[in-house]
Amino acid sequence: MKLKRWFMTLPLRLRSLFRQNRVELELDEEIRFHLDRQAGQFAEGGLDPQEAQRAAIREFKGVELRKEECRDARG
Amino acid sequence: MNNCKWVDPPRRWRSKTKPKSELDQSRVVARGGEFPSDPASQIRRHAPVVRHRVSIRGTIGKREIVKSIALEPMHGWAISQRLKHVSGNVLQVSDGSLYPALHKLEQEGWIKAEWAPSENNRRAKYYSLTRLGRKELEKEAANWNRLAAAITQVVNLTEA
Repeated sequence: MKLKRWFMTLPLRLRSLFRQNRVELELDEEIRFHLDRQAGQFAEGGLDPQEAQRAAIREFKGVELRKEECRDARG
Repeated sequence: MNNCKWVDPPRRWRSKTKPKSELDQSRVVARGGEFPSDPASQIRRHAPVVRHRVSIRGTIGKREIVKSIALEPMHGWAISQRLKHVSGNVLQVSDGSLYPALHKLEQEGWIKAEWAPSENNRRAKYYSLTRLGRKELEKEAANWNRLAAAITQVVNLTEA
């Protein structure tokens, strides 16, 4: 079972290893998408766009730290 | 009770770090370790210990994430909204802690991700359950049902 799972996630591991730049860009894009959607929600609630963006980043609690944790999770 | 047996959660769900003292304490009491005369201590040998849940240390449990994408593929922001909604905004975890958990689950083969256009036509990374993830979710639900049945039996015993 463990071996089967290892083979299942092999393409993902190889991708992290050989297409590091692309994986990084995708991580950036994923987090940017989240922050923009969250900021949009705050803006709908009445915050001005800049303040909404700041609030979204604040709620995320450390963008760079979370990116680092994602890299760790990928191994 | 004889048909119930001790079921440990899978090794990968166990915390690698030693739990903090308050968590330790609640676990000991919940397992009835300190009160042998308490009927709850009878559960210990028969029921599984459910350790995978929203951690009080600010990380999000696998179970909640996996359950939220069980019905349809979702992107990270939508998952965070659902988690907040389901917990009635009680879940005070940062949105950021969701992403490492998602990446870990993807690495473990429970979920898979693909890029697709979102509601506002901007592309987003959608997560969905794999067959393995679905199987693990079912296994976990069965464990929970066994625990609930064991507790019901103990409560009925004490009431009788």
